[in-house]
Amino acid sequence: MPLDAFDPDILQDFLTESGELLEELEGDLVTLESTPDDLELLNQIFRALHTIKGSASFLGLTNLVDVAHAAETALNAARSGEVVVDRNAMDLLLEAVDTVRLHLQQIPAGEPLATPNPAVVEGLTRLGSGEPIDASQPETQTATIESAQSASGADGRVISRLELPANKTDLIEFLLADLDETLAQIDAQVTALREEAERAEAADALVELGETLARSAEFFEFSQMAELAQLLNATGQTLPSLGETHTASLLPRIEAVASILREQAEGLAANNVITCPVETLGARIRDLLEGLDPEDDLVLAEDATAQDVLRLDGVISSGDTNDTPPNPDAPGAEPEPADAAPQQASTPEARAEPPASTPAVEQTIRVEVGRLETLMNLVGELVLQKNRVAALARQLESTEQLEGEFREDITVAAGNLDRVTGDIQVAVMRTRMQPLDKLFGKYPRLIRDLAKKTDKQISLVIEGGETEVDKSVLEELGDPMVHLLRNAADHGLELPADRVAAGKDEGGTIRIVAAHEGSHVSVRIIDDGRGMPRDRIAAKAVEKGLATEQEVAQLSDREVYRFILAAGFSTAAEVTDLSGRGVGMDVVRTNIEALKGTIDVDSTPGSGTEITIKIPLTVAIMPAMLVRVDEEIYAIPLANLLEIVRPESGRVSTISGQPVLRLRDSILPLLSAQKLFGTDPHSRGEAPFAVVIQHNDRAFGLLVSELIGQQEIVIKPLDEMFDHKGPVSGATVRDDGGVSLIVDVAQMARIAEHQTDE
Amino acid sequence: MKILLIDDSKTMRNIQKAVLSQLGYTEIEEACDGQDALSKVGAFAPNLLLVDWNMPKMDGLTFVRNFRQNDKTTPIIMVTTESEKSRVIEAIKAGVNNYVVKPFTPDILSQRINETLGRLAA
Repeated sequence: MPLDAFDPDILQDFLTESGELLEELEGDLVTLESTPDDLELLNQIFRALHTIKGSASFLGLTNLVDVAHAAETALNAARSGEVVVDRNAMDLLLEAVDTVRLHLQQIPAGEPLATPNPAVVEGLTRLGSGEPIDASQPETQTATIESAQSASGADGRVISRLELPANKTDLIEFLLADLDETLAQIDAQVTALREEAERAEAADALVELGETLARSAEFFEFSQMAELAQLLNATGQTLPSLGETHTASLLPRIEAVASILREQAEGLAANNVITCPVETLGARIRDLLEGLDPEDDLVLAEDATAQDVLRLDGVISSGDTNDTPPNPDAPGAEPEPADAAPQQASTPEARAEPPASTPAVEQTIRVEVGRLETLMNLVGELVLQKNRVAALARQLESTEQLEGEFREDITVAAGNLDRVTGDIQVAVMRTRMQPLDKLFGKYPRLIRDLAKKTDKQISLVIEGGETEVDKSVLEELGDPMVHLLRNAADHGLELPADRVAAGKDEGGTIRIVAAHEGSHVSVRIIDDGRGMPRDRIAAKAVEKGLATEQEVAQLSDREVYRFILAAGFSTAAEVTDLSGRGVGMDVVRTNIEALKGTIDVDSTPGSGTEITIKIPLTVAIMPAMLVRVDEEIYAIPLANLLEIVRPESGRVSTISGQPVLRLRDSILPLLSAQKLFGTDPHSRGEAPFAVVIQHNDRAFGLLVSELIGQQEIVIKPLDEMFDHKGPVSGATVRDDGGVSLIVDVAQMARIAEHQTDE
Repeated sequence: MKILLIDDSKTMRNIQKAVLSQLGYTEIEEACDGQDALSKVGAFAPNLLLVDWNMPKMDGLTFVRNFRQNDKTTPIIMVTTESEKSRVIEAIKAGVNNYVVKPFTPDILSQRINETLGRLAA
């Protein structure tokens, strides 16, 4: 059944649903590996897979159905206790899940579905029939040898993975584009052959086209394609001189050749080399070209089609009633595993399963993200207007011109507006919130693969996965998290033997702990590995010129560990394929900072490392402190604000020419907002307040003229044309209708740090 | 083993010649463009041709097309730059058996030559 015939909504629903099921499935599978006897879990996995398969078969996604079916067969055997899901079985199941995921990506991209790795399908089917996987053949998962990957269909087609040397792989996309064109021309000429008047010219063209195609095919070592192209070439040369009978037998055969070529080209587009049994077809064409009389039963009627020939000459089995032209999915759909008995046993049971047996989920309605973004923007505007109304109400309150009762009404109304707007804001934000589990759900598999690769025993503990964050935060958090987990598994945790030698358990543990902290969410990644050597990091920092030896000696452990976040910093003695290329951590830091978040590193040599990420719940609206600097009003994110002091003259002093603020036991660098923003370089305006701002464990003071108050601000990005030199990260509209710039705390912290360095 | 080197740059020819002799091929004839090469193939009868793409008078592609009209079998390796890669398929259709991207190491060229000759022998 063609895919296009379906309502795109149905397909979209299928993709969303299957994607969700697949994610659950993967997590469940990894859990199953440690609890292979959990029948309920097995049933859950089976159901999810079955749901996907059911919809897929309805949509005619044969390749997907094949691989899902094989996995289902194996799981069914596991449910009935015939087989145990061991490590090998799990590898096969996970690879099957990978294939389905690939298919789900290929569908929206409009690509033909990849043919499932036959070794996986076969292995799972064999499992399903109760045979254990032969452990001596671990190639099942990584089979690279063509023969191992070949799937032999009942109709004689052999499909193998496309394997080319690198220099030819580079060219395959150009070949595919070219093949399309060449085949269209061949089709046109083959059609023209039917017209006697055009035959000679078309034959001539086929000589050329056949030769050209043969050259390309030979270059890529597609021997059968080359052979078929040669047949076109030979036919073109001889056909005009042949008699009626021979021509009549030849024409549908040439059409058949063209259709096989088309099928092969489509196969190549999906990285498959399709080989058909064309011996008889080829031999008969050559006989005809040599003028040999075709045997009686081979004289074809004038109106014989290419399909008739394919059947007659044994390219497709004669029992095949499928009249549709071959399509790339068909070969994958045709072959039924040889041992069909166990499958038949399982099928009725599978059918009995209610098709709508999706796991219990909340009732949902799918809304385009774009609509939510619009809503969010509107709420932002609403918050601004609410602020404005509230400010007007406050003004009214202080004037005497209005009647007392009226004034009170306005104040109450403004108060209500404030409350309702707040509620709307929260409600709209919540529509965009998703639990971190959406992200964390992928990690058991990641850790399993990492453990396998590094020969370590790693258990993963996830806490607080139900914590919700904004969708955009969730997306941006993905890459840094994967990087940090890889680091933990690869560098943090030790090999089992080393752990035992250090008096620890053989298996290491990585914990991911997420929690709400006010308007922020914290995610901690904690491993119980070897920890980080302070000395080596300090030495490296000095070597890289990030600090001097005297400086590092004074730094706290945490400050030293922060160096690993600097660009180009890597202490890993060797680079592995997992991590340690020395470009990672600064990218992690950059990503987190782009989310207006912070990252913190702590480590205890011998007992592990802990990385803490803090990110705001949402990046669009935040509470801020408004301050006046000369005539301008600036907004400082409240989250970074530690305290506000009014330094007495004795508290401000200079150390080596730089102003500092003495605050209780510590000495903080002190910045002048007037200088930074250049509001009025000549002004000797008062700046009696010091706002103490913290960023990444570093605090500094900022001198401002006046404190205005706290306000919810909506962050508006700055135009690219904006070339204000000061450290600002955005702008906002205040409740009095004016515009304020938002202070870039990170940039300011760097300026402060630099200042103390000098 | 007779090899015909077709390249308009003398430097390039010298480099390739050095690489080839390093690989043990010593019977080498040079041509500076397609026309020159066409006039030499008859007498020299090479067993392998290394053809540059961009050349004055007659470029590599045209040369291959001309050469293939009479000789369908002698292997041709096209020498291209990275940017010409998208056009390599044209050369393949014209009858090129393999290609190598400049700059290449002796190892790569040796590998390409062996691949090409190996397939011919098979």
